[in-house]
Amino acid sequence: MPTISCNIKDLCLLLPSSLSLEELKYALEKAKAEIKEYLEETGEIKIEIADTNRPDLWSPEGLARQIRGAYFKEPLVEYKFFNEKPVGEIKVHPNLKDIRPYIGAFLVENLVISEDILLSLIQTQEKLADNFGRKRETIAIGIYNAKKITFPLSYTGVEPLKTRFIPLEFTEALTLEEILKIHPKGKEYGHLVKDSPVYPVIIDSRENILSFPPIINSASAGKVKVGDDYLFVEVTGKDLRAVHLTINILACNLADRGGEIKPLAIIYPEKVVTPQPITDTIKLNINYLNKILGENLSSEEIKFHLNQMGHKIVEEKDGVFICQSPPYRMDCMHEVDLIEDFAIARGYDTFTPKPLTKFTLGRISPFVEESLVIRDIMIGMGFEEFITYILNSRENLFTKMNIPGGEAIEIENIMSERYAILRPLILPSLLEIESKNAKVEYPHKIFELGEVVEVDSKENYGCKTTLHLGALLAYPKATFSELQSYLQALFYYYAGEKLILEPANFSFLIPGRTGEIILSKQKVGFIGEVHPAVLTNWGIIVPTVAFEIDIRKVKKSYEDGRIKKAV
Amino acid sequence: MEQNIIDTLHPLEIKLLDLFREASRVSEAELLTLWKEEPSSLRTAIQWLIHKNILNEEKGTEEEIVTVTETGMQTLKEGLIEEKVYLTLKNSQGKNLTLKELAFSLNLTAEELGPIIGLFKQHNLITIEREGKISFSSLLPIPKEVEEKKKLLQEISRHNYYPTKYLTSKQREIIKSVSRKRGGKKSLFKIDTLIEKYYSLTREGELLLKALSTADKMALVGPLTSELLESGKWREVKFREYNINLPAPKVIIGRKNPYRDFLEKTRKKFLAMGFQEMEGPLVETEFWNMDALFMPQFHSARQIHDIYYVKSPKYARKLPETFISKVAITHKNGGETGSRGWGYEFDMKKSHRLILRSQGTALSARALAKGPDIPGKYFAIARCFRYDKVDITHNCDFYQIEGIVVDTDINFPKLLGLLDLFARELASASEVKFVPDYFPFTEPSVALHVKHPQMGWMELGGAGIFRPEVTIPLGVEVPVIAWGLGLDRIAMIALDIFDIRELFTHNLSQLRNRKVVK
Repeated sequence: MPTISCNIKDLCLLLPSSLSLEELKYALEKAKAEIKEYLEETGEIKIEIADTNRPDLWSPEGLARQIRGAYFKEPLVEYKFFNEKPVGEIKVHPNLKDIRPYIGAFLVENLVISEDILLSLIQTQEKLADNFGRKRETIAIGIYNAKKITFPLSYTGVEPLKTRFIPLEFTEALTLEEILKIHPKGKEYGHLVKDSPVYPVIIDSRENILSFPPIINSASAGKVKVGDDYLFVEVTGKDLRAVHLTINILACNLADRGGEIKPLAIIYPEKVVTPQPITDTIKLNINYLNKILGENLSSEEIKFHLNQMGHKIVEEKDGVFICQSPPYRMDCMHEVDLIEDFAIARGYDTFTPKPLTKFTLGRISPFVEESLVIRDIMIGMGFEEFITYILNSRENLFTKMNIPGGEAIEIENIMSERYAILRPLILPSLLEIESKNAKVEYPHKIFELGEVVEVDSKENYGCKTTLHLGALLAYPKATFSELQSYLQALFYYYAGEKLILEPANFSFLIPGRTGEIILSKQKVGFIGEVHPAVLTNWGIIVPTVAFEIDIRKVKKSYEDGRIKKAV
Repeated sequence: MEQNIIDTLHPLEIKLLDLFREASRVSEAELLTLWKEEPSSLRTAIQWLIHKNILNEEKGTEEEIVTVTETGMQTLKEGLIEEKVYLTLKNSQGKNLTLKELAFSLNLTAEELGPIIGLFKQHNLITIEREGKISFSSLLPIPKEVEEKKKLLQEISRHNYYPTKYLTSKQREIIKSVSRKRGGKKSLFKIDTLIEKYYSLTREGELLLKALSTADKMALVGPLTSELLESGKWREVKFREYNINLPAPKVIIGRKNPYRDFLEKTRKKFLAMGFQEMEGPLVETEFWNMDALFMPQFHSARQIHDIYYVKSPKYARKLPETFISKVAITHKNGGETGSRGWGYEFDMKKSHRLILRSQGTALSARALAKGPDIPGKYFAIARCFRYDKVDITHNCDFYQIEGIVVDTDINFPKLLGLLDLFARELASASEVKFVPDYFPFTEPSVALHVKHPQMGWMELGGAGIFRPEVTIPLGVEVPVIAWGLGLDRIAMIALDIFDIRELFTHNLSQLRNRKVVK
């Protein structure tokens, strides 16, 4: 979720009247935003915005716009500059077609850049390029002192080795290739253009290079300072709609600050003027809105609140509105988006909750039901239950268990070795617990009933999730036969079957003191004394006996068995 | 008079009284030596006699003692942090780890690592180069201070306790350096004050001891036996009176895990509200986890930093043909849903990518595709996984409680009504607040804020009405409420814990001491 910083005073300057912190908190709810930090002395606030699909809200100007509409109930005005004539041109060279083909731009007049405006502008530029622009891949933004630029401009691909200019933060001219190698921004974003035959640059009519998008601006024009009052703003990218949307957001933000926006024409060679009044046209059925909101609203009421969210109703016919979303938004895909906007503008607190009244049957999942029965028996036999992480380490699951090359589902992008693999067995989790409780009064009789994931190449997903019961008995006199008694009791009460064990070998159990558990001729688990080598690996110093069974297999076996008996 | 008291004496009490025939004032340590049985039974007998005003307890002089903490015992087993740092540096020679990488690989904080780096630098074991890279000289042994610390740890761990007066000044310094607070969580040693206790008989006790003859001891019967019953001797003997107010020995009982208790109670509440339980695999496809929920394939929440990807196999073999093609066209241009869609070419292969389930909503998507009951209510207590650093407030492996409500007349007020019900049933909340929120798969969306009796205002969960772009491609034509609740914070209050990791605790004694969840 994007988080922005701003000053509460600066934010309030963009509103019809100042708000207290409490009022602002409530107003921000209507922008799905929340104050995360507040510094009383300076008035600095940090605001987290939940809507990842509304980049227009990721700035103080955008939040203020939403608050003006949804909180102050002002209809959001249309921005006039969208219909004005361009004052200059940018020619786009066809050699950028497969590299970074689109550009949008405008000029801002009569806005003196204050410190707050500059900080907000830089922050918005970063949030949009990083988050919405996926680290400058889809869009990148450049802002310049327009006094140092002469029109027309050209946006063209040039040879990396032959072209040079002085980038921001440097004093000497570098070739584009050197910029990628030496300049911090070149190192960070160089991969976006590195393999292209030509690199994109913006050049003015005096052949000055203004910028090397999406990497870095020139030191001469590409530095905006407090006090500047004439700006050039451009956005380049690979997705035309994203470029236009970003240009529109920036233009509306700067217009809200009091700037005069002067559109520019982009010559592809076909002419496109930016900012460009893009919109989503949505048909809103009034009956559908009333059904979803459980209301019986008049079209006037609906119009009133939709206007507060910047939507324009261009036609109304037979109970259907034709709505146009504002040019700085691209999240309106379906009429439900307008319905939510209406509900937010009117206020969620204006709706009265209604109870669900129809009868539905509650039902527990079959495996949970199974585990309830088993848990009761285990607890009745004096075992204490644990719940542990399903994710574990290779070291715990295999190395310490003496299972070389053990198979399990592993995570590709691990954050920590400790949480790297989905456990195929519960026993390692129980031994880990035992290893940490040597000082706790014995005997230790513990169990876990939990999910495990088994590798199975026959399965569609290459694995299956199943439910296991693992149990462990540890104290100085723990023996196979004592735990066997418990297992026997469990089988008697739960499966209604006699316990049958077949001698078996597992690398982590003592040979000759290990059995596979058989139910209806199926192997459903194992029991055995844990091998001293494994106990030593875990640092456990008391004899330990354990069993583990696959509950899904047991359930299936005894159900099959019952069917057979019935026949 | 004495005889009445003698009748009530337990054999342990008589045994203890006998120890005062030789000396009138005996220390606890001496009693322990003479006792020759479980120390706990001696302490019980002492308490009993004090209670009956037969024995006096006096406190002697104070003595400062040092013991090894649990962390210290653990360290003895696993090695000192300094040794781990030394070994890690040695094993990764040539790699020139940075300080950050070193701290990360050993899960140490900067404050923990700082003094060790200082010590190693002082011994010329390491030098810190540009960008915090550590250059390590393998020829030098581990500093002798570390060896001394280890030796001391071993020495003290061999004793139950160790009086500090026997420590050398150097040892004292070492102990001081690693016992930050008294018994602080990370310190190796703990310094306590031990007060030796002395016992003597009261006047009454002395009289009692004189009156206590061997015969008395024999005539009293303790436990009733089968033999007494069968032979009829029970008619002749005298039963010793028990002091029924004395504390009985502790028993360890089989127990449900308290967190499980909490989850089961939550499950019962959902069943009582008429919800059916859903279940599904922990390893999922991007399709069910995200595509089917209309989260675009380029959505930021789908990137590597939120989701765990399976290493092998990478892809599911197949996905249900009708659903995937409908979901694909809906992402592209809205399909039959009346939406304009996200407007991008859907990548079928990406749909098959295997991941670890990151949200319980994946189960809701599956339930919709299976053809839910109408009306129908569904819930799941689903284990989910997120790419997150595990700390006091975050787990990467956790339970999520999610579900859906399907019906022909679902609308926004009913969504709020459902949340209101959850607030009352699951959080005992008296007040609720509905706040606009964003989820890629619901519109309208709402966050549920509740006033919890102990915690005050908190966010309990999120909900909304599924977008038609979610329900229609999965074959559901009626509106569906989707909801998800974060109950872990409420669980933590119920279990009285402050660290979210303790929901999955390994600590047996903590588990034995926790009370039942109400």
